Amino acid sequence: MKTKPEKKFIPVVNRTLSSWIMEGNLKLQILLVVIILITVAIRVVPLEMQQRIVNEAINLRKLDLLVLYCGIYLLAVVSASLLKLIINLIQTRISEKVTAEMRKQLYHHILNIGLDFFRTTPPGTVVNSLLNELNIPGNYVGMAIAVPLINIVTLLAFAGYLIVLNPLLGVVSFALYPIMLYIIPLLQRRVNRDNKERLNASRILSSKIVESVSGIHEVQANGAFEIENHKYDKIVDDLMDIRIRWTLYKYAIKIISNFFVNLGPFLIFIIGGYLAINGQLGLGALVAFLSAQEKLYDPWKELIEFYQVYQDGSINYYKTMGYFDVPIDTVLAAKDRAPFELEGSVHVDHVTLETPDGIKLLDNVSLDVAPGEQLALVGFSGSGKSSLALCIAQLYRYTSGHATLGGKEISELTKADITQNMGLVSQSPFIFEGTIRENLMYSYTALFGETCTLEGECAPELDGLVQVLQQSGLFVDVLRFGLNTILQADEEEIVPVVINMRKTFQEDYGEAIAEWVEFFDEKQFLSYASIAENIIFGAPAADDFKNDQLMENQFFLNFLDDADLTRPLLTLGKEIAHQTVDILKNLTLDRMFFEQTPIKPEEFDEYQEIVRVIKNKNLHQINQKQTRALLDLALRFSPGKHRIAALSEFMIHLILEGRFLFKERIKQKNAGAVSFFRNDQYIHSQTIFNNILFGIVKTTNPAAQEKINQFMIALLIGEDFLERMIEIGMNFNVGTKGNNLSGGQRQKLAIARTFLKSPAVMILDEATSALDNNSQKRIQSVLSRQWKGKSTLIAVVHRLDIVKDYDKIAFLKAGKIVEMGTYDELMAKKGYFYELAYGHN
Amino acid sequence: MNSRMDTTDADNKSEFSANLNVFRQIEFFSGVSMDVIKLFAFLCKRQSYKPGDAIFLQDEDDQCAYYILSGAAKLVLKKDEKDYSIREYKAESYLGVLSLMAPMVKQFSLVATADTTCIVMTRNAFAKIADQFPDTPLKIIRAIGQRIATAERKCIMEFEPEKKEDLRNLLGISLI
Repeated sequence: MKTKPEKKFIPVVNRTLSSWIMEGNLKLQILLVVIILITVAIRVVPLEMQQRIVNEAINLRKLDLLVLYCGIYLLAVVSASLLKLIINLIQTRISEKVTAEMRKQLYHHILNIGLDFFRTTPPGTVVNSLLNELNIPGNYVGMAIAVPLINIVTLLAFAGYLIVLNPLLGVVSFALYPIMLYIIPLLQRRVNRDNKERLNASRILSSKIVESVSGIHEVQANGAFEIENHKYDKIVDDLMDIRIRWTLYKYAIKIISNFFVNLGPFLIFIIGGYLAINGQLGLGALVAFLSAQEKLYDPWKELIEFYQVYQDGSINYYKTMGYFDVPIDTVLAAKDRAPFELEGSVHVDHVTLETPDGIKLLDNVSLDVAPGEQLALVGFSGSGKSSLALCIAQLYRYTSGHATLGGKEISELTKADITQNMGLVSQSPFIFEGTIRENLMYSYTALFGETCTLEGECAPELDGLVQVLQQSGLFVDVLRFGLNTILQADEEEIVPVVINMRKTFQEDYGEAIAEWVEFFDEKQFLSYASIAENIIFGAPAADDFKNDQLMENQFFLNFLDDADLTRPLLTLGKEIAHQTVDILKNLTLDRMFFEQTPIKPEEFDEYQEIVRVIKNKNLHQINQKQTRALLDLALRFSPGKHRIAALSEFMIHLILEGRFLFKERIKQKNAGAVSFFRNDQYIHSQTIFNNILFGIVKTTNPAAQEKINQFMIALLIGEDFLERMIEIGMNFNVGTKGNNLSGGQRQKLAIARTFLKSPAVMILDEATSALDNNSQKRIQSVLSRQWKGKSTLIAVVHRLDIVKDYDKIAFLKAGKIVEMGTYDELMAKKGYFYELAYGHN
Repeated sequence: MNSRMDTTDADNKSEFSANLNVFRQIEFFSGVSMDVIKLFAFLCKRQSYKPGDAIFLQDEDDQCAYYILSGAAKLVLKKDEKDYSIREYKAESYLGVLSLMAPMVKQFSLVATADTTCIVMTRNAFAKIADQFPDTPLKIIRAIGQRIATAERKCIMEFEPEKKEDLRNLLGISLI
């Protein structure tokens, strides 16, 4: 009777290693068994053929038989090799599939483990576990059926064949194996012990590395190199000892196994030789025995290796899985129901959060927040205000008491329930590599699912995106990103619009901005453009006039000579390279260091080497490669941006002269190669902003820059192009961890993404701490005007001037709420809150 | 005043070299090595202001320190909707060094009273320098400490019993 057993969900960390062998691989494993059986059958054929070739073909001198048997021998060998290849392919496929699956499932599991776990687990351990430790278990699973089966069956087949051929000699051939079967597991036990130690030591080592890298400031500031080196060296030495022992025992197994296998032929020679001399054994049979001995070696070796992989794999697997076998308190989603849609009431009743060491981060806290109400949590750092917010957000688990969201106990809600009803913005929000739009959609996509949001069914309207950008104050930043975009080929449709806007802008604001902008005027040097751009003074249409190709362009190099520019530019390039290398040598390179020099981070080593080599040389002594590198540098130099060197009036004059000579030359040679800056043409090498300006902003006066921005926004509104520009700006890539954004922009982005989700409860954990005053006030006013009554707000606030509008303020001290009330009530009370607001006199 | 900028321009020196000359003479940087000062000079930027432009604003943490290279600016305190002019800073003044080290809201506004150019250093850039040369903050704090002690000594020297009440909250600042 077969009933389909209900599949019980077992967390990946509790699965046995053997459970991976069949699951999802059943068909492949069956195919493997079939191929293996055929292979083994074929493997015996050469043995039989050897015997027949000697006994029948050679002894009886029959050439036709010799050809036939040799043919069969060859066929068998070729087929066996081909089948072996197929077996390996299937095995690899299974191994890699299982390793990938283990990695995925473990990763999914790890992401769900509570935050507590990560406070004590270094990222290195997680990385190492996911990257390295699962390889051998994966290998084992791939081998688990194929290797033992093929090799044991092969051994049995050989044994059977040999025993049939000559029972005595057959038994002798295998006499040594039981001894090995006794000794090898003994040694393997030592190997296992050392392997476990090795894993522990590796983990300690990786923690140590992570610790010293994260704490490098402290190490360097305290000059604690000796201490750190000593600690590190000790762990490395321990690991070395363990690894030596581990490897030695592994080799010992190999050597002993080899020794016994090699002892086999000795027994065959002595006993088989004796039998042959006495005429009890045919010469062909002796050959077959000797050859079988050799052939026994491979399956045996593979079995031993498999045994070792099994042992190592089990240890790695169970140690790794065991490490992450932490109970996951929250369920991702309930199977039998959709996530709750809760109203935004929060009720906290005698909640305590105690660390395992007995420190009470929260001590008997109670409070109530009605739907749509706004609560501020204030207090000194360490008072527990963030802990309380994170408990409500289910990121920390309160150890006693009750907390409910919409009447449901928070600790019993699934992650899906929380995601559905709550939005959290932390103090240092994590921004992921990708565009502004992708980051903006992050919480939204997590809530609605990728397929739904990407295929457009549930994608938010542009209006919705624009609205949250405005509310969070990121709007102007995104607009700026849009304006600073250099158009890609697929956005050509906006070119005529920009040209049109240029005209309007010049008419409306041309005079007002004249003193702050360098217009693209043929007779004027542009400090904020590179020297190459100043010379060419147009957008290159032909590839060989693009900036990165100029050093390969002989026409251009000849032109530089004729315009008397080569030597002054070389001098400039040398100066830039020398200065940059002088300042940045011996530093850990940071992107910020390369804003003021035309050298790119990835080129630094190359220029450092050039500077070293040409140090005491004159210009005429440096070789062509160095010359080109320095010329290239000088051509990329823009005096407005790169403050590392300066241009003399004379040089500027030479460049302007060169501009005219270049124009004349290129017109004769290849008129289409460059499209010169013209008021009626789009300049593809420049940003949209510069295209509208038809120039480059030169002022460093913040008020002037602000004014130009205002004009620009007014223009975009007038031309009904604001939204399109925002769309372009939302494609801005924020860089790894949002590196291309400022701290304030990252916070605004995180706030915007929570606004977009529009949850019943918003939790802001010092979410505006990196913003300037005005932006903070703006967001506060958006919160109290547009979100009050709509979403419940619980905000950890560090600045007291923005808490006036909150319905309630809770003041925390040492994990307890010591005061609660409205702003006016607390001020009138002249207690803790009043004191925090007005100093400690 | 013969501003440094004019002379450097005449010598065709880069802005970096000019900054370097300036920073070498700022007392807060007197204890740090030349490599560090070079990085300071390399990472700071210049900003120009017209008369009436705010260089920084009261109650804002602009995360910057300013060296007035040319021009002048007045320090303004706004209290109860009224502006009080505290003092005027001329070229070669350095303001806001504490803002480089820690989040700190400016307690005053600084407003340009002439065409003014400042060399501006940001907290972010300072953090990068401290990453590379971890003992830099400590050395600068020493200079700040001395400066505070000197200022208080001066205050004590000028101390008169009848002004005691006015100064009560201020005296002892070097004991923080």
